[in-house]
Amino acid sequence: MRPYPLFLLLLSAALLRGEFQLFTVRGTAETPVTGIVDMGGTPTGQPLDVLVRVRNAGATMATIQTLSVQGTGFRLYQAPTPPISLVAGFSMDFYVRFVSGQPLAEGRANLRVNNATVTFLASAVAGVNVYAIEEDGTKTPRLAGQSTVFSPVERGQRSSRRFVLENPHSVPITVNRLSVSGSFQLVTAVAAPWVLAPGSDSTIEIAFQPAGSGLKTGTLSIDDRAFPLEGVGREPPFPKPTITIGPGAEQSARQVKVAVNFDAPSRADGAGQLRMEFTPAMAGADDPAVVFLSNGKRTIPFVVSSGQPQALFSNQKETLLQTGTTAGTLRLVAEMGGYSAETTVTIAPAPVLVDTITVTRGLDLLQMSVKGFDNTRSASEVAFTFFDSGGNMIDPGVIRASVAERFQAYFQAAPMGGMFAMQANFPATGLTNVITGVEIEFRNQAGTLRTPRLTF
Amino acid sequence: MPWFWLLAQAAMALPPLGFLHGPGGRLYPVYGMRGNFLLGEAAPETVRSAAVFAGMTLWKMPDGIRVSDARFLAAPEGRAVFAWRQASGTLVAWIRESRRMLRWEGDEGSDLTVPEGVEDVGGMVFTAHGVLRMVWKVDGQLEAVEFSLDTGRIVSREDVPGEQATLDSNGNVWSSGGADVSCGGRHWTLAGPLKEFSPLADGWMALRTEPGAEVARCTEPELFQLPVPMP
Repeated sequence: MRPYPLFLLLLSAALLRGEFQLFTVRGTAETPVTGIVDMGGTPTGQPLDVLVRVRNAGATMATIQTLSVQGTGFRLYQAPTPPISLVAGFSMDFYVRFVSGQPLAEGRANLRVNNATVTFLASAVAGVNVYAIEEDGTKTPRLAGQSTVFSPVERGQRSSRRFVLENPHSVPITVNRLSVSGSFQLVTAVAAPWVLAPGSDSTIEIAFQPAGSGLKTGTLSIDDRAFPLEGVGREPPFPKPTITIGPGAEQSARQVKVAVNFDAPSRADGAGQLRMEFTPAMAGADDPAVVFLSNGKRTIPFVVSSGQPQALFSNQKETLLQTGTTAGTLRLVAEMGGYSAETTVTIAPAPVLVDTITVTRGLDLLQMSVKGFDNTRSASEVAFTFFDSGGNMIDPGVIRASVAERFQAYFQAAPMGGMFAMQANFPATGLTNVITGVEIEFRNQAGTLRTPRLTF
Repeated sequence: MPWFWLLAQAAMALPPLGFLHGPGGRLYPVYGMRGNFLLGEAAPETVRSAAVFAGMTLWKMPDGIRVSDARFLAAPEGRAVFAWRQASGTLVAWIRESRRMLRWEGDEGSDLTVPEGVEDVGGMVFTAHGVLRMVWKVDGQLEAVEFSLDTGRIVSREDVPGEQATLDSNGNVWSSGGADVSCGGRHWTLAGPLKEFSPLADGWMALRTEPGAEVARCTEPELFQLPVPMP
């Protein structure tokens, strides 16, 4: 126990009986200062802080006119500048900090608060200086509690940093314990205890290899000092998508397969979407049949699993799209992970295609129902040619009719793309049972197409 | 040779091919043609079943059959399977839940007697000669039968293999077992077990499975997908 000068004790007591009370604070616990404050020891270069609290114990406001600390290696830290007025019962906090670059058996300082003085003691033992080496080769000093940040790295991959442990003193320093924790590993083989000769230094390498993504932390522990480490793990980038369309997409009334592949197997699970844009060749003529069939929409989600080079649509490698019955341009865009790929298909205008012909024969009437599609919506003329059982053309031969206005009115009103159903009635002056075949021809802006002969 | 005039009516309209039950049991009209199919908006929930014949549409409501020509024919509650003969204006309906076969000539309705043991009728169509062709289940066995309405007699009868069966609009027998479907020597494997056959016009058959619905015709090998109905 150190002997304390009597006057110091008297002054300390006067402080306590006066309007200000002095405490050291650790956590939430306040300890009244009754004499000398022994801060303890710290390695050279490592700051040692004590939190000090001054409380106005009087009944009225009081002012601190003087607040200072004097002593080699000691200073005030995060302290307000006087004059400081404190309301009765209120307090203010500050730190007394000690740091020494050289070993020091007993450092001593006087803290003055107005007329009161308190003695602070501290010591410094020889310790290693720790530096982090930057990318440009410069060294950044590291103190315990100061975090060192590693470069972001893809999960499963590695980034590393080197640290220098330096003994600047004239005595050897023994490092009894050196370890690394968290998402960090010590690359350099170190066997503790380990002696650093006077004036020497040693370099260690620490690797950051996160297993997952996000902020990762760890600690470099050197004896009792903890140096936080941190880094960010990233998800690997997704590969670039490519779109593959099956044959037939350039024609109307087709259901074609579409796949999304990647230029390399994906290194992570991910999700994207395949989007379809349809621009009809004629203004104001969208086609509701142009959709992905598995969901009836023009956008369909897909997923990709780590290790796979192909997207899946509800567990299928391909999805079906319907090209509709309208000429135009189909643009497909696959988007995932910041990458996109697109491909365009042109559905060319085509002559009218007849899908079904139904003939109902009455005694004096032949009723014909024709279903088909005109992807140009420009049908202008239809022609019927009838045949007998001998294959002979029946008079008057080709029967032509202009249907431009009728088709135009229909397509403007009907939301079915280019599909149509037309009913034509042929009243007969004779028996209809001699008529056993028909060929139908449509003309539109893309040309003329005649059906094969339908026999009935 | 007869002299013909084209009566410039060229009536334009695209009727539905038929109807399909979608999510929640709602009926959706199916439009389209080979390689291009659309679903229309769902019918009201009161519509139990529907069918399209030669420009005429029939809707089975809770208390009867609504015809597109504005007629209403009284019939018991339940889903119906229809057959229509345009030449004679004969309509036949099998009401599933009440297991009754009804017949109308114009607006005159009457019951048709079906043999004992008939559990259900999967499909009906009139042949060109006016005979009613049906697929029914009798005592657990599927059969394709031809039945004369005039004589009230079964003209022909043969077993149909499978778990479900129906007829398309051309009178071809369709049958299924699990995800396998057959018609006229053609076979298809669907994305999942067949839930329901839905005969459509022009020989098309809608095949509803849990994942969605597909469409096929007895006369061609290709299977087409229907857009998934919106819930």
